[in-house]
Amino acid sequence: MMSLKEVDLLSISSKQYVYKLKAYSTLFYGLLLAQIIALFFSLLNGISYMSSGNGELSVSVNTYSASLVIIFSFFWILFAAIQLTTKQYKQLENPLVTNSISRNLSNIGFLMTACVFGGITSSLVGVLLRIIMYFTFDRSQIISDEFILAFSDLLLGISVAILYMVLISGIGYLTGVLTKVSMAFVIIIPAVIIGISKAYTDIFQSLIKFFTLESSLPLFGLKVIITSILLFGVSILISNREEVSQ
Amino acid sequence: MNVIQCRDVTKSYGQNKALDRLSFEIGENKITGFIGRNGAGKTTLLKMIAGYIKPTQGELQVFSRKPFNNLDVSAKTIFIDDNMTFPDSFRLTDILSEVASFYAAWNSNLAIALFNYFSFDPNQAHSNLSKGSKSTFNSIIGIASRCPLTILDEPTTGMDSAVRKDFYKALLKDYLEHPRTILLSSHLLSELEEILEDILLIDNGSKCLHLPVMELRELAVGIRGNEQALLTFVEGKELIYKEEFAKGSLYVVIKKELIEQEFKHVRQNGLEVLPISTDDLCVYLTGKTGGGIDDVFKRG
Repeated sequence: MMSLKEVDLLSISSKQYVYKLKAYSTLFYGLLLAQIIALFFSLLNGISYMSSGNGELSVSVNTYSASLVIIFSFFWILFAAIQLTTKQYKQLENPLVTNSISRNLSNIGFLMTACVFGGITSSLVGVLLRIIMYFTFDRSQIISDEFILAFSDLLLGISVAILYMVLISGIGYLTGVLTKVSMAFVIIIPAVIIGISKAYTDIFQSLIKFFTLESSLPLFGLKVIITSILLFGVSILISNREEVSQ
Repeated sequence: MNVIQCRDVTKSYGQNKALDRLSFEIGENKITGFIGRNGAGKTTLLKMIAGYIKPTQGELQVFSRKPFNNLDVSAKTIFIDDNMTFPDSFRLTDILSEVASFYAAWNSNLAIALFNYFSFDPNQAHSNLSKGSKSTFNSIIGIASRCPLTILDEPTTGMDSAVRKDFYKALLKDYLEHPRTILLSSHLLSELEEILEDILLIDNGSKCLHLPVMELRELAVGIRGNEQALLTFVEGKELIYKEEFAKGSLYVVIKKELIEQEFKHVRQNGLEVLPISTDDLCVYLTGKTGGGIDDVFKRG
């Protein structure tokens, strides 16, 4: 007589999570590569160049910023979240004990880990940029109040980067899930976004402001977490009835 | 106790019915072969039992639950086919140890022993394996997982005959020590009928036969002889298969029970009774009526 003991959803999900961390390690190499490329671009010329002079005196200013690194990391998490919903990645789970909910939970766990990793590394690359500049540039020519980064600012930067990445991963994941329902969403989603941004400029901008202009970290965190729960929750609901493709 | 209960199950993809009102039951700890022609619906049915897809109509229960999206059923079931993929970041030995943690009854000693016996390179990636080696490796997972319901969909694809024989032996030996319900699908019945207990013959998405292999062997006979004599003999009886193998000579396949009392007459009429292999019988049972491929060449 075989046992009919219930299998614990959380224990299966966490096993899958561990499996995925090992299995998808290549995604993390992709992030590091993207960050190094971004760092290289940032160092090469700075992100903006300004020059002026009056004949006797000329001033040229190169602005350096690690924001490109952050932007690359955002694109990476968006890409990673969509990737996890593809057939290719789903197939990897077929040999395991799984159902739709455990699959989604372990995916979300993986994405959250990726966000933390991406948030920390992209902020640290910003520090690396400063260190490289400090040793390779003529120090007397560096003008910035923020050149020496306070540890608390670094922590704030990391937290904000992580939260943004969580939000982006939620958007990417839902997009991926929707495109599995119908490929039409590949066109519909960008069309709707562009449409709203053109036709309802004020709504669209207040939506952007809702996240970007929040000055309180806890409040920003709360907004992001609630939005992400909604995004992932809808994704789970949509993908729950879907058959496993092979 | 029945492990699988299937009642009027239909699966349609648009207009096309992959499975059509299929009903059967499979008891605990039996080895059942799912036999059918290409596209008969074997894989669809097995995937449905494994919980990958859901029936369009009808009721399917595995371990008394609906298998689709069910974690309990998934924990007791393993589905092996040649589409299984594993992450490229895992070496073959990593796969064995990683997958192991999911299955309660997994036996690593057996997995490693089989792995070494079939001389796999531990450092190779799964995606670089040849077709036959891939099937062999996947089958190792199927056997070593010792799942109460082990589903092997065309497990021997690409294997050479030596490996096939070894695989069937390994499966049977482990089954005898640790009985479990095993479903095997294949279109080559001849090589696996040795290890099967039951056969479920599927034709065009419907059940054609479900019976023990022993009974299938006794089900029908072939009769060969002069066309005229044979036709008068079988007149009014339902034929499973009829073929004109030479001018004026005919070969028919008929259910044994229909001619049991008339065996004497067969000899008197100069007809020859021949045993028929289960493999051929299944082909005839699921074939279109008529002379088969020969008809194609007779025209013109």
